[in-house]
Amino acid sequence: MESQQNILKYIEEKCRKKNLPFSVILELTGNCNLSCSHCYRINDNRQELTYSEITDILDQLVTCGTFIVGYTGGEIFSRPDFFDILTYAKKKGFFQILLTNGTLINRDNIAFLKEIKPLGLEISLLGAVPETHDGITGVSGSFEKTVSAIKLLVEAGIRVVTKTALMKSNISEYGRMKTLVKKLGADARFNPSILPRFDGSTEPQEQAITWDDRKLFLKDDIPDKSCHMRIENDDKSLLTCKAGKSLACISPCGDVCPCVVFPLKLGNIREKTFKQIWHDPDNDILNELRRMKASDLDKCYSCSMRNICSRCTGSAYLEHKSLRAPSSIACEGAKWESYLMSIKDGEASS
Amino acid sequence: MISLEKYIIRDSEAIWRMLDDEAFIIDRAGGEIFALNKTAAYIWEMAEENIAISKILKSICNRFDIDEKTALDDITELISEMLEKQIISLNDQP
Repeated sequence: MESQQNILKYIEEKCRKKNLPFSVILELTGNCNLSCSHCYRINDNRQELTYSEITDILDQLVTCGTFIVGYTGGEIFSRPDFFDILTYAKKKGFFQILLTNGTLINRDNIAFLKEIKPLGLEISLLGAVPETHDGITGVSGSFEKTVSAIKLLVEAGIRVVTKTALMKSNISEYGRMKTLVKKLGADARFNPSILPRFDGSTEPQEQAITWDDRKLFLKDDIPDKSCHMRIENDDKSLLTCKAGKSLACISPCGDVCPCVVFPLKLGNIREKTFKQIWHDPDNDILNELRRMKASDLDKCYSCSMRNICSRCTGSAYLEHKSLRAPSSIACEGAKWESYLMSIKDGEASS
Repeated sequence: MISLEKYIIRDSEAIWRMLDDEAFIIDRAGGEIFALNKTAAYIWEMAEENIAISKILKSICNRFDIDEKTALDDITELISEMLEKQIISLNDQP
């Protein structure tokens, strides 16, 4: 696994230097069979991309140098042509990552998924027991289906990572979720942050865990910094992320954005090709993201926690409509990491 | 020792990408990426059309300006690795 991560980092770094979109996330649909209380998505009434538009995008991404295609939604398996899309992308040589709630994975489609050889399959797990998980998803029976999917996938030899948004309603099950996931043979990833909704509403964040929750339940937690690519002695990688440099996202209706949690439209794939959008020398947003250095971020650069901060430009934008603002989610994360380090230092010196 | 008369057959199911002179491939079992260096990637590309190892040897000597013994040592090792990863197989016929 470690060598795989190193290879991916190596490729990504090469791509970033050339401004190649190493990883592109396709939001295939806004439709979802669950209605999670913390979901950040908002409805878009425009027509969603058709199968032929998606295959055209995949063709374009081949020529643009993309390695990884991630699929998210909505629920990706709710698209009737999803398996055709996966097959097409496999033929084109993409490394594929699937993000799903798992409820539509069953014995009938597991063999197909094995054939596809996804690089990763990430499943949302929101509790250790049905009451909690189903309470958050709003759909009775969803826990059972999700757990069943994890079992089937693991049995089929597909690597599964569960992703859990930690909230007031499930934080007390943090330990039990870790145990459950281990028992199922998957890897677990937890995220203690809740994003605002894309319409600016902070309602989902009312469910965010408190500092006391963290202290009570998360002392063994290792912060997830997968969005970041910290490079030693590189001022451009400090306090910034991959969005718009080596990562892009395409919404169900074709809007190209820097990241899935960064809904700032760079262009629409129905009006311009991906290459025209990604390599547009006059795109102020992309130019800003690619040129931005830590020292440009006045407030963050002067912060004592800047070296451990996983600043998310997307959430900074969601909160402040600014690319250079701090992100309160990252501030909280850095504060937490600093606290954990102080505990470790205390243990080491005692 | 690998026979020079054998043909390299690429796994048609392999998922792979090139970047600069290197190739990155997901192994047959799926989920694991490995990298092929410049020479291995060159062999991989040449094997697009099932090709005899003797032809690859000649081509590598010319392209990388190395003697036949060095080239043979290199490709023997690289082909063994690729066989182990099951991204190629060897055949008597093209």
